[in-house]
Amino acid sequence: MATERSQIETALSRRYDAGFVTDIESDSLPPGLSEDVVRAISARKNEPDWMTQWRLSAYRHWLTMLPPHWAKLDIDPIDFQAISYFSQPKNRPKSLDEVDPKLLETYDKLGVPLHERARLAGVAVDAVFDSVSVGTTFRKELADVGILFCSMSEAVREYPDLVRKYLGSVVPTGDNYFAALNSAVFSDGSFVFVPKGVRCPMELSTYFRINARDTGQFERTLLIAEEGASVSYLEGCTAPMRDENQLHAAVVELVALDDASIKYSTVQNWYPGDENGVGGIYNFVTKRGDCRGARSKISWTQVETGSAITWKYPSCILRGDDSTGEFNSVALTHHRQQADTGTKMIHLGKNTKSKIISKGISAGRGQNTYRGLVKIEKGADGARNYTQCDSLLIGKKCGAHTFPYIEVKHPGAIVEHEATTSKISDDQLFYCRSRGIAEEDAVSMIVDGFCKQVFKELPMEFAVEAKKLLEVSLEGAVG
Amino acid sequence: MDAVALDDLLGSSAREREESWRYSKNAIRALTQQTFATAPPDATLSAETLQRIDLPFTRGRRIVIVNGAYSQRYSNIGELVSTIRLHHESAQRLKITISTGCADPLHLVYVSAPAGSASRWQADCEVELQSGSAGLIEQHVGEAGADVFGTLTSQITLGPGTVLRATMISDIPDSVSLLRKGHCTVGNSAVFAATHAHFGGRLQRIESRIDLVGTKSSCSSRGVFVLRGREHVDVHLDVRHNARDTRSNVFWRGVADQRSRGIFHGAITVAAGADGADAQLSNKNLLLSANAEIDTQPVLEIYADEVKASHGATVGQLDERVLFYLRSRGIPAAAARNLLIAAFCREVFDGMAIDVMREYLDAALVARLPADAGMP
Repeated sequence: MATERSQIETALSRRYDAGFVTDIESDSLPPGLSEDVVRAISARKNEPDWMTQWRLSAYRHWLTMLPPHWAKLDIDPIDFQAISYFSQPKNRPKSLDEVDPKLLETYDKLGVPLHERARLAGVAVDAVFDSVSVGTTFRKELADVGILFCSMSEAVREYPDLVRKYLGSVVPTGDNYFAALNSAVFSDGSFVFVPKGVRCPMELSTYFRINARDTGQFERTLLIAEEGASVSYLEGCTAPMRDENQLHAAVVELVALDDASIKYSTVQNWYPGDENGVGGIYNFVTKRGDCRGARSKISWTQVETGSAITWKYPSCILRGDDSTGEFNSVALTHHRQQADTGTKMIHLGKNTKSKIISKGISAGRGQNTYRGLVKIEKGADGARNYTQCDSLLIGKKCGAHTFPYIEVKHPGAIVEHEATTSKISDDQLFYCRSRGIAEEDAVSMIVDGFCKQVFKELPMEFAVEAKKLLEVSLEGAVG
Repeated sequence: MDAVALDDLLGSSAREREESWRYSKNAIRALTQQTFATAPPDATLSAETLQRIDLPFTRGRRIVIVNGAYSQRYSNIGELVSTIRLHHESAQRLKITISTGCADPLHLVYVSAPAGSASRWQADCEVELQSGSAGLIEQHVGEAGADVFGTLTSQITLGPGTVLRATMISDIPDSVSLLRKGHCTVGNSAVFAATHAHFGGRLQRIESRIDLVGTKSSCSSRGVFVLRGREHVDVHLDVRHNARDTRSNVFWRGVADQRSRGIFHGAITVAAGADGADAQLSNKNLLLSANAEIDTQPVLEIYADEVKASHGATVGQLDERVLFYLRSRGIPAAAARNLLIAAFCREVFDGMAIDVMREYLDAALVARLPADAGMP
């Protein structure tokens, strides 16, 4: 038992594997936020005037707002004036071949060889390094079928009509404190437009990394699937080791028109801070999908293992009749990580359906909270929701919390919510060990089984990555 | 109304207030903006009320509180005195100490009586059970035409090894509002078993906090609300496991018809070190009208790992297939609905220790269903 304990302690105090800083000169704005900074960001990106005005109105709104306080999170006040709101690698490359080799090396260290992976797996990658897209692959192939896949800044310049029509239509600029901040200073992100009747021939993916010091990263992603279109989008993140807390406030907007379907998958592994809770990323994200058309479908799948603090509620507005929303999530908190995450399913249309599967794992001193809203509005005849949220506790000092909000205004709706909290049972462990399975393997096997429902929703390559992430994150967490 | 007193009732911090009153914001705001006179404690009760509070199994013994004040005139505690001590610092503050258990339940009646204008009462009640087992019935009634806003703070302390079976029944007209803040502390190996039935009310806010502070203590909270018209009931349960090997079981049902609104908030907290806790919560609701609303919020906060905790909540309607089946057997639609609603609610009363009490609650429940349809 004594040796086990020491092994466990070694494993628990494991350092963050992806923690390194790539030394590339950054072109950053000095820290601070004002209308001038907003204008400067807009100017550097050569944005048209309407975009600048849009940012400014968001900024003015943000000034009137207060940070949300309802989450079960312990956050030190954030000094928004101490953050630099723009940073981009110098000498922007025109194509992947021109990309700084050091940068590509960074991806290699993470096990994400951009070229190889893209070719082998047939994945088009829109890699975001800090705040600007550095390379986009497979764009031509996508363009041939009419799909637009580019950085947000490019989209603002080249497809202003589409951007104006959809940007902020799902998450308005004044939606919440962090969404307003993002709208004012968003740096870059991805833009995807899948036209009528097109099924995207490959999985689309973006890798986010926070790199330059003290830089908040404010991604803005907009994904539109027109009538009958379908697309699967993958997003994954890792970040280098860092001692100051870094703010990441992204906004993701999805729009699905009639019969369209969008699948959005995330594996998030930002730097979680060390075992004493020093450093780590603040991940305050607004993700929302609008099932605008009849029979449309939006599915969110997330595996959250990183970040010091996660504040994230990928939501679906089920506006179109017979539309469907799904949320599948695995969230893991270890050491002093805190997560307050969940979803919102707003049923507006008739016969709308939603399903929520949430799996929370707490270890060390981690605090893991599920917070979810299921709202059935007056017109949502025949609406149906099923929610299952399970929590697994590993250790004496962690916490697992469940805060569902169920609001029903239509008598034709059926809403069901179930939640359980337990630890890995001694019986399960004993059984595995009596079959000669080492304790570590047994734990990872049981955790894998616990998360299986969610993993099976992930695209293949992500499922492998997610499983590995959990294994690594939980090594020896049971004593 | 006195703003300071209201602060105490609503919760001190703005955050606490916002979350806790999330679904009753408008209802409480309307009340706080209204002016109330102090309700007269010496009102004469109607014959109908006297009949309603005369429960068949209490042998006429009861403690009656009219508009918040202890009423000598209507109370009858004669034979109870040997085991029960009743102190009242003032008419509005009752303290009841039960030294050893007693076979007959203690019947507390709170009456909201009309006063000519909108009026308000406030009362405090402390009950301490030192040993043995006892029964407690807390009944709230409102007289017709009473425009009254009552607030009751109830504190129950259960000594080691004691068992308290408490029944809380409120059946008040939709002109009466009731804010009840209950707090029960359960000692070592003690058992607190509460059964609730809440009907009516312009606003009924039933807060019940149960602290399981003793090792091997346990509690159960079973309850039902059945609402119609513009009635509004907001149930806030807060069960806290603070010691080892504690158990809790929460089982609530809600029915909302017409323009009513039913809210259920059931929080279970397992504190760090409270290993061996076993907590179960079930909340099911029937939403019967397009203008009614049900909001339910089962909450789990777990800080220990040797824990079994689960909760489930549903909102739905009567099963059309079952209704069809009953109709095919010749039962009229409205009566079939009544039958199914009553069956849905009755589950709450299963396993009640006192049969007559269960029958009484059942009768009160049936009386709430549409009368013209009847029961098959």
